[in-house]
Amino acid sequence: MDIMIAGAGTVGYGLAQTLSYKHNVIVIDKDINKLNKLDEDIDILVVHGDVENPKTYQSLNFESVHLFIAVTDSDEANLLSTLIVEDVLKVERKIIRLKNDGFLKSHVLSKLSIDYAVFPDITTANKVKALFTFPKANNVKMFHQTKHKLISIRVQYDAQRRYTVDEFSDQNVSIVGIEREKSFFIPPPSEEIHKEDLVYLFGTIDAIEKIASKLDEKMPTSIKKIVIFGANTLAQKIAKALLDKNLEIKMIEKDIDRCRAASELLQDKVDIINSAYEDQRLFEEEGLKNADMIIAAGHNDETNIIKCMEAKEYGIEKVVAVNNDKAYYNLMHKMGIIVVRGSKAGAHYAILEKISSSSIVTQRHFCGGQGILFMRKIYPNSELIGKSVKPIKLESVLFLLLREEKIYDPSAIETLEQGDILVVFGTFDYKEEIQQWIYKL
Amino acid sequence: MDIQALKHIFKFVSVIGMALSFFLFTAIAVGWIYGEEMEKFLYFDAALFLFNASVFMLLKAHTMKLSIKGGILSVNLIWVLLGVAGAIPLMLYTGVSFADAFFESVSGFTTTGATIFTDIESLPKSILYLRSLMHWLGGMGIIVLGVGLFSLINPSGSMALFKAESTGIKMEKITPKVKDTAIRLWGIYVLFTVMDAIALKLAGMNVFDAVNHAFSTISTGGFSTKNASLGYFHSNTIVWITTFFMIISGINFLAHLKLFSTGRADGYKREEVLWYLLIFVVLSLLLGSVDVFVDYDNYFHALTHSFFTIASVLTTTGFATLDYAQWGHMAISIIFVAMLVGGNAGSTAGGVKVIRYIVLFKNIAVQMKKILHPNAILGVFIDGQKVSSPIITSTTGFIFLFVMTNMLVTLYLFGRGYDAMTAVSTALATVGNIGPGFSLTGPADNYAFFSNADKFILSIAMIIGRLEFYTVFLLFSKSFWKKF
Repeated sequence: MDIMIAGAGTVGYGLAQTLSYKHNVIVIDKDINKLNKLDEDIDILVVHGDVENPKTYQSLNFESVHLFIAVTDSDEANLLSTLIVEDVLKVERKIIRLKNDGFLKSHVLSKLSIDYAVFPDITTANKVKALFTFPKANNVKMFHQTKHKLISIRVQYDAQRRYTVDEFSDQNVSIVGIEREKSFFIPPPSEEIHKEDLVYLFGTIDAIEKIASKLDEKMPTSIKKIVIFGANTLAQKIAKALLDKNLEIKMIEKDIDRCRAASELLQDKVDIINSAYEDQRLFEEEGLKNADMIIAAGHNDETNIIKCMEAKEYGIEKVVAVNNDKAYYNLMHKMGIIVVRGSKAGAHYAILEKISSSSIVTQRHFCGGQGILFMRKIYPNSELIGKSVKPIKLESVLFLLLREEKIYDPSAIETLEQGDILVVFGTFDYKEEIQQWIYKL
Repeated sequence: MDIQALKHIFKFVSVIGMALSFFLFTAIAVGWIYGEEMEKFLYFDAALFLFNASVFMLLKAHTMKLSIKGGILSVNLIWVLLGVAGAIPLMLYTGVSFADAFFESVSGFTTTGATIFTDIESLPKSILYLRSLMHWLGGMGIIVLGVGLFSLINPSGSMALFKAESTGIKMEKITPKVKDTAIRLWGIYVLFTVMDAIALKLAGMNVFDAVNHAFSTISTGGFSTKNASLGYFHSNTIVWITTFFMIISGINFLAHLKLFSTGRADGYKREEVLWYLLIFVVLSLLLGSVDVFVDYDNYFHALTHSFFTIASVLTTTGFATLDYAQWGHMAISIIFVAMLVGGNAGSTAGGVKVIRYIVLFKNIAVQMKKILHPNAILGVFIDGQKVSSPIITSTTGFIFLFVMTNMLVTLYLFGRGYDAMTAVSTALATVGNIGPGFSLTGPADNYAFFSNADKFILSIAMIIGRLEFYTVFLLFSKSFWKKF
C-alpha cells in the first residue's frame, strides 16, 4: 500500500516507522531537519514541502496513493491538506488527526470526504474517566462488538498462597495476559500470579471486579479527591469528562492564560490554581497530599513522571501520568504509575488500529504495544456460520469465543453461530500469524 | 564488536557471496561455450557457494539489523573479499601470483581497468569474460544489487549501507523503498548494457567482444578483450558508439531513471549534467585542436579520437584508441584536467565528480562576496536548492582526502624510484579509478612491472577511491572501534 503522511512530528515519525515494514511510505514536512532524521533512520521517501501547498503534490513522481494521513500539529493544516491532496492525486482513504472536538458533530469531515478522524484528546479523557468506573484498573479497553472489557490490574496482595491463572478463569472472565518484569506473555492455565504482575483480564465488569478485589488489596475502592497537573486542552477535557462524577477536582497550572481558559470552560466546578508545578509547598498548603488520585497531564513526559513520584512520596496510591514517548513506558510501569496514552501516542495507536482493522476484523494493541488483540464477529449471512474453528497451535496465543456474552474455548465448540465473536490475544511477535489465521478462517 | 554484530555482518557477506557465485557461474558457462577446461573454476565456484550458503543457513533464523558501524565494516570487508574471490580464478587459469591476481581483480571490481596482463589476447575467453563481468558487477555496485535483490536493508535499518557504496554526494531515492530504487537502477543499467552490446554487434564486433565491451563501457571500467583496446577494431562507428555510451554512463542514473519511468527529461536539466557535458565538449575540442594544429591530423580523425579520449578519461573508463601519451605536453595537460574532473554523482564513473567542483566553486564565490559585503546573507544554491553547510564541509573534506590519498600514493611510487610523471599519473589513475596514466603506465602500457608490494598498495588505493575515502578511512578512526 502507498501511504502518504503529512507531518513528520512525533506521530508522523512513529507511524512511518511502524508502517514502513509493510508499506511504501512517503512523508511530507516543512522541517528539513525532521525529514533528514527520518531519511537516515527509516526506509521511506521524504518530501520537503508545505502540506498546504498544491505544488508539493504536483512535483511528485506518482499519481495516486492508497492512504493519506494528516497528522501535523495544526487542525487547519490537516483539514486543508486532505482537500488539496485530493485535487492533485488520487486518494483512496483519508485519515486525519484533530484536536478540536467541535468537528466531532459537524459535517465538515463528511463534506471533505474524510474517512476517519482521530480525536486523541477525547480518547485520552475517556480513558481517564474509565479509571473511575473501575478504580482498581490500570487501563480499560472497550469494544463496540461486546460488553466485555479488557482491563489491566496491578497485583498487590499480602496473601500467603499464590493464585494460579485457572483459578480465575471461567465463563465470565479470562486472564489473557501478564506483564512481568517488562515482558508480556500469554500465561498457560497453570501459571502462578506473582506480586507486581500486571494482569490483563477480559470479561464482564462484575467478574473482573470480583477478581480485582482479590488481586489488588491496596488501591482505594472509591476516589473522591483528584489533582490534575496541567490545564492544557487535554487536561481540560479530562476535567470536563470527570465533572459528572461528583468529584472534588483541583487543577494546577503555571500558565495564567491556560488557567483562564480552563476556568471559562469548567465554570468554577473545578478549583484552578495558578502555580508552578515545581512548587513543593503545594502538597502541603493546598492539601494535595490528601488527594486520592493525581493525574499528571502535562505535555512533558518527564515532568509528569516527576509529579507522580512526588505524589507517591506523599502516599497517594493512585497516580496516573499521560505518556507520549514509548521509551518511558516501561520505566513508568515499573514505578507503579498508571500510564494513559497521551494525545500523540493515542493518535499513533488509533490510526494504526484503524489502518489494520477492516469491516470484519478489529485489531487493538495493548500493554504498550507488546500485546495484540484481534476480534472478529460472525455477522448474519457470514459464510462461517456452521463451520468449525481450528485454532493454530502457537505458544503465547490465546483463542476465545464469545457466545451470548459467555466465554468458550473455540476448539470445544462444534460449529460457529451467528453473533459469535472470535477473540485472539497474542504477543506482538505473532501478529502476522494471527492476522492471517483470522482473515482466512 | 560483539557476537551479535558479527552475525549481522557474516549474514550480509554470505548473501553477497552467494550472489557472486551465481554470477561467476556465467563465466564458467562462457568457458564451456568456447570449449575451455572449466573444472577448477567450477570447483572453486561450488566451494564459494557452499561455504556462503552454509554460513547463511547457520544464521537463517538471525534477523539482520546492520548498524551504521556494521554496515561500513561490511562494505569494506566485501570489497576486499570480492578482490580475493575474483583473484582465485585468475590465478588458477593464468598462473599469475596472488598480488597480480588481486590487483587485476580489484581493478576489475572498482572499474579502474588497469591490468597486469601483457598479452590480453592470449587469455582464455572465460577469463576475459570474468574481467568484464567484474567491471559490470562493480560499476553499479554489488551491494546496491544485493539491496535490490535480497531486500538486505531492513525497513527500520539505516541507509548507511546504501550510502557507503553508492558513488556521489547523496544517493537520492525516488521510491519510498530503497529496494525499489536499487532494482530500477539495475534495470536501467542492464538496459544500457544490452543496447550497447547490440549497437557494437551491429557495428561489426563479434558477440563475445560486443558483450565484453558493453560490460566495461557501461560500468566505465576499461578492460578490453584486445591488447590495443578499442584501437584494434579500426572502426569509427565503434568509437562513436562507445563514446556515446561512456558519456551517458557518466550521467547520474537517477536522471535516466526519471526519463524511463515518467518520460520526463527534466532530470537532465541539472547544473551538474550541463557542466559535465560542457566540460566534455570543451576539453574534446581543445584536445582535437591540439591534434590538428600540432600533429597536422585531419579534422574528423582528430575529433573522433579526441571526443573518445576525453569521454574515456572523464568518465574514468580508460579505453584507448591511440596512444594519446604521444600527442605532446599540451594534450597531456588537457587529459589531466579530465582525469581530475570525473563524472556525475550517482553514475558509474569515479573521480572527484563534477558536482563537488560546482559546490566548491560556488562556495568560493560566496566567500569572496562575503568579504566585500560582510553583512550580506548568502548561500550556495544548486538547481534552486540551498546546499547545507554540512554538505559543503563534507565536500571540502572529500577533496582534502582525495588530494592526501593521491599525494601519499604519489610519494610512495616516487620513493620507489619511478619517474615523477609515472608516480603522479598512476596515483591519480588508481585513486580516481581511471586505469591508464602516463609515462610507464600510459594507455599503451600496463601495470605488470610493479612489485608485489606496489600492487597491493595500488589495489588498496583503488578500493579507497571506489568507496570514496570516508567509508575506508572511518575504519582508522578511534571512535569507530570504541564501544562507548
